[in-house]
Amino acid sequence: MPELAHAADRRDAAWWIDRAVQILVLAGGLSAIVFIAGIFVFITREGAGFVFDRFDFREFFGSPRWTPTSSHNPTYGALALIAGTASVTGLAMVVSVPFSLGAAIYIGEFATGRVRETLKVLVELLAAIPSVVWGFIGLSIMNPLIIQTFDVPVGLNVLNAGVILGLMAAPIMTTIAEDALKAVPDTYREAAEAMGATRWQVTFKVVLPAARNGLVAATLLGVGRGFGETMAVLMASGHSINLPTSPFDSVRALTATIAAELGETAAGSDHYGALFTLGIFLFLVTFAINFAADVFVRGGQRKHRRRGRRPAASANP
Amino acid sequence: MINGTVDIANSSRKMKDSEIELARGNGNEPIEFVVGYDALAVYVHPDNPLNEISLEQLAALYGEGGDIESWSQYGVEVPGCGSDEVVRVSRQNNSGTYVYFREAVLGDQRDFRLGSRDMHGSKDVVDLVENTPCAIGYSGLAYATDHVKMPCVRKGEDGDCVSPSVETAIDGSYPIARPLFMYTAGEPEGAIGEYIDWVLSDEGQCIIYDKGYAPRGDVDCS
Repeated sequence: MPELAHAADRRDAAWWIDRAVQILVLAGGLSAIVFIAGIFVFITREGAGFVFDRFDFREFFGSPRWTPTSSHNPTYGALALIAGTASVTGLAMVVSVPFSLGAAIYIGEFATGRVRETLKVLVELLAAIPSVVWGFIGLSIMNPLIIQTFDVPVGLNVLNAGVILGLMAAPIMTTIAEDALKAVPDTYREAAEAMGATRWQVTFKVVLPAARNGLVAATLLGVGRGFGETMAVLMASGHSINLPTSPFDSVRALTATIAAELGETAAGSDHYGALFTLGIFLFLVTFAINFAADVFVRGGQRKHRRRGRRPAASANP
Repeated sequence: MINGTVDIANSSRKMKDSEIELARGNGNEPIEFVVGYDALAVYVHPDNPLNEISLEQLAALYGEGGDIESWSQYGVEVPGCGSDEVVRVSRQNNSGTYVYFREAVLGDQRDFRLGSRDMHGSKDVVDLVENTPCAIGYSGLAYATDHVKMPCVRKGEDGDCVSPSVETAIDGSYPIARPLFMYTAGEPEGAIGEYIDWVLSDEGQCIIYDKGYAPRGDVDCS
């Protein structure tokens, strides 16, 4: 038998190339895990000193006083920062969910041929605009516009940052939502049309409910995008420590605080550790959001399979 | 510079003792050079009728426990600012400008009041004030544009009101002017030494003057 195995074992050039490519692809796949684990270890290690020595749960989550550079009494209350991030992300979702779901339904269900392809390219192009450009639009165009339109003292506020962030999150949500719609088997549509349903009825009564999980996943990924965005929020939100009571209040986001302060903070100080503690918190929240999105996507796939239909090939982005 | 990554560090405030200790711990003895002076101007929107402001008034606006909320408390009515609210523009809490303003206006023991709009750059402060009738902010004189107004600043109720300019920063009459520093790791040698010498030479000092900062001493730049 050994002779036979040896005969089948032809280690020629093609075999080696095949092997090398396999290892390369494996390394590519593993690197994502290595990087994410490395980042988590790094921010945890940098933040650990603060978490164990100085961290006060009630202060961190209960107090809006973030004064880390005070000369006599530094305090590290993150409540206002959390409220800032939550309010801006919340408003961004109010703006972007209708926009991106509408765009996805049009591209996926109604548009055909050249219109459809052009729209898809344009939506993806929108995602390529750098966030500092969005921030600059917020600072120099939206600010005077909001002051004049609503007669408020300053235009750098939740509304400004929310609209900017909504526009930034819309492309990724549109793309994923459209994938989710595409993943609904055509047999569903055909069956509905055979029963005499109009196109709107097919879309709203059949396709949307069937793609529900994918659409929720798209929304959650948009939320994750909004939560993690830094530069545009830093520039458009006003960067002001405040518990917002209206869309016209200036706020400050977690990410923006890290970006603005980390660069000039002495490594190893309490302030430095506190910023990394914000990072750990952000990481955990973003992880939870992405995990939830993943669970929803999987839920959607299983449903289509169970009914004996063509598996949802492209629901998982 | 503390970590030994760069040879020269520019700073708009003095190094703290703790930072000098950190640098020494890494084997870098910081050497300080004062390369010029910068007047911190107070900026308001060009439509704002406010012409002068005292350090005490600034402290009551920016300082913790301060009671100024509206422009009418300053005795002015600002066109285009219907709400009368003073929009305080400040800097992020680790900028040298922020720390200097706190020391010069609020004093060592007083903190800033929370709720100011904290901009991430000197230029952003001026940009925002330019576009916002209700706003007031502080930033280096070198960032002044034609679209903002700089009220003169007085120290005490009876002091002279001094407009920010290179001249008043040089003669020390402007109350919020600060030295600008360069720190080198150890006595500068070679190219670093030549560069520092050039910055401190008449040629380098005249460039500082041209950019809107005050040189260290008398130089003739005409």
